[in-house]
Amino acid sequence: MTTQIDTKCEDSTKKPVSFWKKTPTITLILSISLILLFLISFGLGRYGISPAQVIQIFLSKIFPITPTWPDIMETVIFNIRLPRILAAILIGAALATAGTSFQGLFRNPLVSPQILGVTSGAGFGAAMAIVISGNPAVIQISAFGVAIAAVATSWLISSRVRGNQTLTLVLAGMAIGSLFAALTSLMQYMADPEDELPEIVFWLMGSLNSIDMKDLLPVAIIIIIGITVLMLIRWRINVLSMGEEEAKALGVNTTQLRAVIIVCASLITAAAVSISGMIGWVGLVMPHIGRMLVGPCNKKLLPVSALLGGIYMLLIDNICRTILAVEIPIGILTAIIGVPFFLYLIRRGKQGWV
Amino acid sequence: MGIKLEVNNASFRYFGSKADVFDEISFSLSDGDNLCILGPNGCGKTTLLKCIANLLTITGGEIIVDNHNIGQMKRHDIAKNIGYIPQLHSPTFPYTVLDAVLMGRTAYIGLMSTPSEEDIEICREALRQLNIYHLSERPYTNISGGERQMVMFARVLAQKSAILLLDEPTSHLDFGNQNRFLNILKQITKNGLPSIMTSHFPDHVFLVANKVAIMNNGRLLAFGTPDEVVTEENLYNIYGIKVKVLQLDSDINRKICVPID
Repeated sequence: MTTQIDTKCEDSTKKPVSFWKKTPTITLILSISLILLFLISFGLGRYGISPAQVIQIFLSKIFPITPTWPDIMETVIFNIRLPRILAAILIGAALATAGTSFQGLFRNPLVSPQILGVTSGAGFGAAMAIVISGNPAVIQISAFGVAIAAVATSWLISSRVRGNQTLTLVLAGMAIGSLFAALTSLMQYMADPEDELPEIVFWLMGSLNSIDMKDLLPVAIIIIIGITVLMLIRWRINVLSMGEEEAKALGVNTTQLRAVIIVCASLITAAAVSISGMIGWVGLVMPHIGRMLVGPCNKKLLPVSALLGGIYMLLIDNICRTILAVEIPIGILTAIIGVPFFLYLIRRGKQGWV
Repeated sequence: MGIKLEVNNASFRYFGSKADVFDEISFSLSDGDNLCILGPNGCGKTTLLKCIANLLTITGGEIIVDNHNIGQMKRHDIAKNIGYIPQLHSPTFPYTVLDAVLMGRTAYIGLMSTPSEEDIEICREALRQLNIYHLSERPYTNISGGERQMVMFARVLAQKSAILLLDEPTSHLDFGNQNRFLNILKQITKNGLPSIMTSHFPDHVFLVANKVAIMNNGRLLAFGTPDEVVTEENLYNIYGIKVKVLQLDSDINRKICVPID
């Protein structure tokens, strides 16, 4: 009697993977693209600077090169464009990393970073601060604080319930998200329609305008630490995505791992939206594009998602600030440009949940 | 023969429930044992396996593995001792078969690291042992139910635990694959790895098991060798139907169970 289970499919190990489809190649291409885009971005805008000048100005900070450019060029690069470009990359990477981690944790590719009410909380925090104070630093801190409070509340509610923790967490997150969305509307209703209301509306649409290094620094620290932790535990997210019970049987302390993922992903999302305003879509879709490129294993997927997020946000922000004489809110363009592209990818998608 | 697992007077009830799912369960498992648990739907077989894997915590008695009380062990230490294949696996992301099997190595991989070359080699070996190495790079969501069950089996072999728990491992397999699976399990048990499986088919007992437990209403009704336990009387008691247990002739030399009403 044969002891082999019937297998009807061809031998998959014999198919050689083409060079362009290998993960290191893809990661390298994305990294180079990000660096090139980073350098090109400095030259874009109403005050045009060529890439060669950008490189010269950067090098002059390290090597003694006699400046052949006006001082204002340096000011534009270091005080205006650098913080904004760094912010775009960090925010995109943060949202994509958080989205990928949450999708693994909740075993659901429809999940986005706002699943636990983070962005709704941030929206309310910002709206409240605009009505009460109007000081940009207060708005940023309030957005971050309420965002974290929203997640903490969702978590607290779910931890009081026995049974399927993941499901109750999602339900609690939805409820808390709706509550804060309603409270944001209340703030808009109460706001002075002459100046406060437009400010709230613009904040909710998202913008990277007027970010300076002082605002960016604390946010950057939180995002870098959060992404680093998630990158370190990324392989375990695979195991957790097999379901809580199986992950336990395989030797994972699921309570601890889930807590680490929720804390890190929420912190980086809250930090990102506290300076950018509401930006949807990136955290939901970058993981999918990543999966189309390198497959679902988080060991490869998480870094690729983060790179894609950074590239995408920087690209969109460049368009926002150059295409029209006035700035377009970034939250609008992330979707308007992203949706057709995503639908195109789905149409030629490979299989199942890609 | 060393004793690998001891269950002493174990009982379990869900939080807030008034009735025990099972109680007064005691038995032990040694090297080379295959224990098959029979019992009607809802008798507590699955709950018992989950308690032994410490996925649920027993509310009375004790479970001893490797001279340690399982309630005081860390997850990764339990995983090194007890491998568990659930009855139902709901796949999510289309991981490759190799990536899925690699998850069996979790207990040996540090919190902040990824599988080493050695882990990958152990998984390849498990895939070869089960003759599914050629599936390595295919998405495990995109293969047949029988193949996926073998992937789960390869994963638990890669886990290199001291005991295997299999919850109705044949329930999604066709007639041929059921028997192939049981033959592989028998070989692995013969090589020394003790296992506990649940089943709805008394015939499976005669195919692989050297010990049988009959569970009904959360109690062990009978425990012993297949010949002692799988009797017409016991089968009538648990399933409520008349069954003939027949001895097949000499060149097959095995008992079979035939329902007659």
